[in-house]
Formats: sequence, C-alpha cells, structure tokens
Amino acid sequence: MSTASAAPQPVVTCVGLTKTYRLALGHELTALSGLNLEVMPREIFGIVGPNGSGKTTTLKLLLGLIFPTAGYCTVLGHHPRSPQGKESIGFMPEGPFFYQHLNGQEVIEFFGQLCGMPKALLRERTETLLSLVGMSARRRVVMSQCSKGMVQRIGLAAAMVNDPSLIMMDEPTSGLDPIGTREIKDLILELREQGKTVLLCSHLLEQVQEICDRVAILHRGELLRVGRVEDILAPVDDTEVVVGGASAEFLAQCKEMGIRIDTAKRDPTLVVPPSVPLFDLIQAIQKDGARLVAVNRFRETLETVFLRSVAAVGQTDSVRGEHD
Amino acid sequence: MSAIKAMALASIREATRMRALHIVLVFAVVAIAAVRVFEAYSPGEEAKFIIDTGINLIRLFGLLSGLMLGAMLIPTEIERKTIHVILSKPVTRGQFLVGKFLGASAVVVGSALVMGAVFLAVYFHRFHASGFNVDVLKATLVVPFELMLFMAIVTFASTFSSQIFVIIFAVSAWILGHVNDFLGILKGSALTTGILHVVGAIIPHFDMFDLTRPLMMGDPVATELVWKPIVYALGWVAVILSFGYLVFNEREF
Repeated sequence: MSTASAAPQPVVTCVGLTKTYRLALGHELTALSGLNLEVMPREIFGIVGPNGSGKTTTLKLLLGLIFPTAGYCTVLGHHPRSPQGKESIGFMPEGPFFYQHLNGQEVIEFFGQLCGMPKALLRERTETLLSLVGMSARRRVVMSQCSKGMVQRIGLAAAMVNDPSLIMMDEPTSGLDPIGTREIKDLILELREQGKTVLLCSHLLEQVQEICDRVAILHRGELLRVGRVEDILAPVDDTEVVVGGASAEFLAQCKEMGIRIDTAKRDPTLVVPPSVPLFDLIQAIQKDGARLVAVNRFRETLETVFLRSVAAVGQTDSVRGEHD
Repeated sequence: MSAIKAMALASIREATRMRALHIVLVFAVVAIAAVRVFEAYSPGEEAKFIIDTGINLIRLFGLLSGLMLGAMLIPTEIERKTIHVILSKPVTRGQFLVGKFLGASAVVVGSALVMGAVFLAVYFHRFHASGFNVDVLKATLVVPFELMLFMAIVTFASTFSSQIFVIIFAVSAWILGHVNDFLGILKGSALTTGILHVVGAIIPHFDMFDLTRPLMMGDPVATELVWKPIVYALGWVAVILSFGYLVFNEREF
C-alpha cells in the first residue's frame, strides 16, 4: 500500500499558449508566444513585464475573454470559459469601472448575486468585505463620485465576494496612494495565509519582489524566466562599494578590472567581482583621493534581473536581425 | 437563472437612475397630456387626432428611450471593461446577453406603459361621454411588444458594433420594418429586386404593430390583430437573441 501523498495539482496551467491578433492589411501581432506556465496552490505568483509584454493577454486568456490561437490553458482544472471553474475565481482588472449609478455596496451585492449567493450570506459577506477594504463608511457613495483608489478597493471586494480560491489581479495597486498600496500588499499576503492562490500582473517590480513567491518575466510575448524569487535573485559573491568624488580615470581603471559601475545614484556604486581583491581596491580609492562611502554585500533586485534578461533578448534580436 | 435576474435588475437599477431617461419620460408624458391642446386643428376628427398622435408619441419616445439604453447596453460595458469582471464570475455569455436584454426591455416597456396609461387617461377624459372605445386600448397594448422587438434588434446590434452603429442599425431596421411590405413590390433590376426581397424577408414587419390604421378608417380592431403581433414579436425576439448569442459567444474582449 502506497503512503505517498498525491502531488498538488496546479491551479493554473498554460501549455504552448499563443495569441496572435490579426491586424489590418494582413498584418499580425503575436501578443503571447508559446507560454508554458504552472501556478501552484497557495502561492503568490507574479507575471512581470513592460507594457505590451503579454501580461494582460495572459489574464484574458485565463478568464476566457479571448481565445488562444494555439496551445491551451486550464484554470482550477476547468476550461477558462467553464462557469464551474469561475465559481472559485476572483478577478480585479486594472482600473476597474463599474455601473456609475450604483454605490459601493450595491456593486459588491451585484457581483454576489451573479454568483448565486443566498441573500443572508451575501449581506454578511458584503459587510465583511466593505470593512476589509476600508469602505464601510463610504458604502453609499455612488461609483461616479468615487476616487480611483475607492473604485480599486470596491473592485477588490467585488473580486473576493464569492470567496474564491484563485484571485487574479491586473496591476492591483494602480492608482492607490502609498498607504492604500501597503494595505493591498498586506491583504494579498493575508490571502495566501488563508490558503488562497494569487496570480498578479504588474510592472512594479519592487512590489512583486516583495510579495511574490514565484515570478515569470515576460517580454514581447515570450517567457524569459520563471522561478522562485529567491532563486532568480540568487546570492552572488560580488561586493557593492560606494565611492564619493572618484575621478574619471579611476572609474575607467575599475572598468578595465572587470568592475561594473552603476552611476544611477548620487555616488557611483562599484559592483566588485570576487576576483578583484577588495583591499587593493580600497587602497586605489585612497590613492585617487576619493571617499569610501559604504561597503555592502551585493544584493540583486528583480529590476536588475529583469533589465539584464530584456537586454540579453535585445542582443539576441539584433544578432538575429543581422543574420536575417 | 439568478445570474440573468441579477444582470436584469442591475440594468434596471442603472437605467432608472439615468437622468436623461427621466427627462425623456417627463417630456413624453407632458407631450401626450398636451395632445388635447392641438385637437382644435382637426375639427370633426378630434378622436382620430388624439389616437394617432398619442399612440405615435408613445412609440416615438419609447424608441428614443430604447436607443439611449441600447447604445449603452453592451458597447459601453466593453469599452469600460465592466464585462471583464462580470464574465470572470460564473456567468455565461448567454446569461449576460439575456439579462441585459430583459433589463433594458423592462425599462422601455415600463416607460411605454406609463405613457400608455397617461394617453388612455387623456382619451377617456375627453371621450367618456360617448363611451370608451376598447379598440384604443388594444392599439395601445401592442406598442410595448413593438418596443420589445426593437430592443431585441438593439441588443443584437450591440453584440458586434459600436454605439453609433447600434443606433444606425436599429433605426434603419425599424424604418425598413415599417415599409417592408412595399419593398417586396418595388421593381428594379433583378439584383435590386432580389436585395429588396431579402431585406423584406429578414427584417421584422413593424407595420403589424400599427393598429391606428383600422382605427383611423373607423374599422373595428379584431382580436387577432392584437395577439398575432404579440406572438410575432415574442417569436422574433427569440430568433434575434439566438443570433445575437451566436455572435456574442465568439466575440473577444
């Protein structure tokens, strides 16, 4: 008799998922190309990429709003258009727009009614959600008079009204102030604690890095990388040295030694590989008359990984272009 | 069923809070109530004037309300992406379509009933001494069904086109539907005649709902002139919504 427990089934599966739009004059635009992806239960999965990378197209395919040109996807084991699957899905689009003459409470109740929720349960659930998204006191404000942040909060409540096990969010913090953004992030983390799966799309890499368990990097419809955030941001042995008042000659010398220089901040940051002796570098800084501001262990961010991945694709594209 | 009901109720609630719709209804009621002011311009034919003008005003303002609602019916939902959130819930596209149609139709038919009640009150007040002509009630009764059929056409058009095109399509269908008896007898080239025959066949006969003609001629309105258009309207609504569903089901948002 086998004692091995069954492996958890993915909540979302995409296999060779491709979407090509037909444009005028016979032109075509491939918004998503052969996406293979699995989102596992109880994880916060982020899809990141610049505008036009295929993030929203992926969500639309998963919701059955558009149809794949090739490949397929399943959500909670169902076809994306199956009402059974949608019973356990919540979706919050970027900048949701609801019926302008309904107030916040009515909007939440409307979405609950669409899910066939009994009146008493819906009333109770609406109260809980209004309180959760901080809209209890403003429940009677009609949508046409709500700020973007208020609409976003109502949108989140509407997405969660059926107590879904999978919540999809497109740019969830769009239009929110820093406090609202923090609250949404905390809420997403809380959803995971409750055993729910969150699939979110964002171009705010810092936020994604902070809350996601796994991420997929999309660029021009192609999946560049996918994996756990800590694996993607694998620790490296480089050291970060911040110097003030360094001369141009010194920085040029550093480059020759294989040191990367980040000049985005006020003081240049030298990313020093382990092959360069740190002691020698510090002596060189003193000799140049520059000021040693800080020495830290180098920590990669999702932004640097993303930019590097995109740059690598750009180089490949240009090489391809030359060959073509 | 609950999804259809929820869609319909939300559409009704949204529509009944539209200020523009209130203005149209108030204006229509005032216009219908004021019909008597102008009866003096048709001496000896006051009854005909009141019936013709009153029923056509109900029809006209009903169409106007239908166009205002219909233009927003689905194109606005798509434009504002409300449909994304709705279809992410366990709602089929068919339920969405039927719910929107029922909600919008209920508002338009409700408005027509209010206008009809005002018209009948005006008519009864003017002619109560000579006895109430029940044929006027019959002629008024079929107008809401004409409007329901019109709303089905509006709903169908809104499954594949923009707001402006919905208006152009629905109004064209309504006008052609009132003259399509003539389309079949018009002569021209073989191609023109063929096209006119096809158009005449695929567009509902809206002229069936105009019972003011026998009233104007002083003829009685037979019962079959009432139930036939009603059955005809309900049948066409089912056919048009089925085609609408086929189009809508394949549409991408």
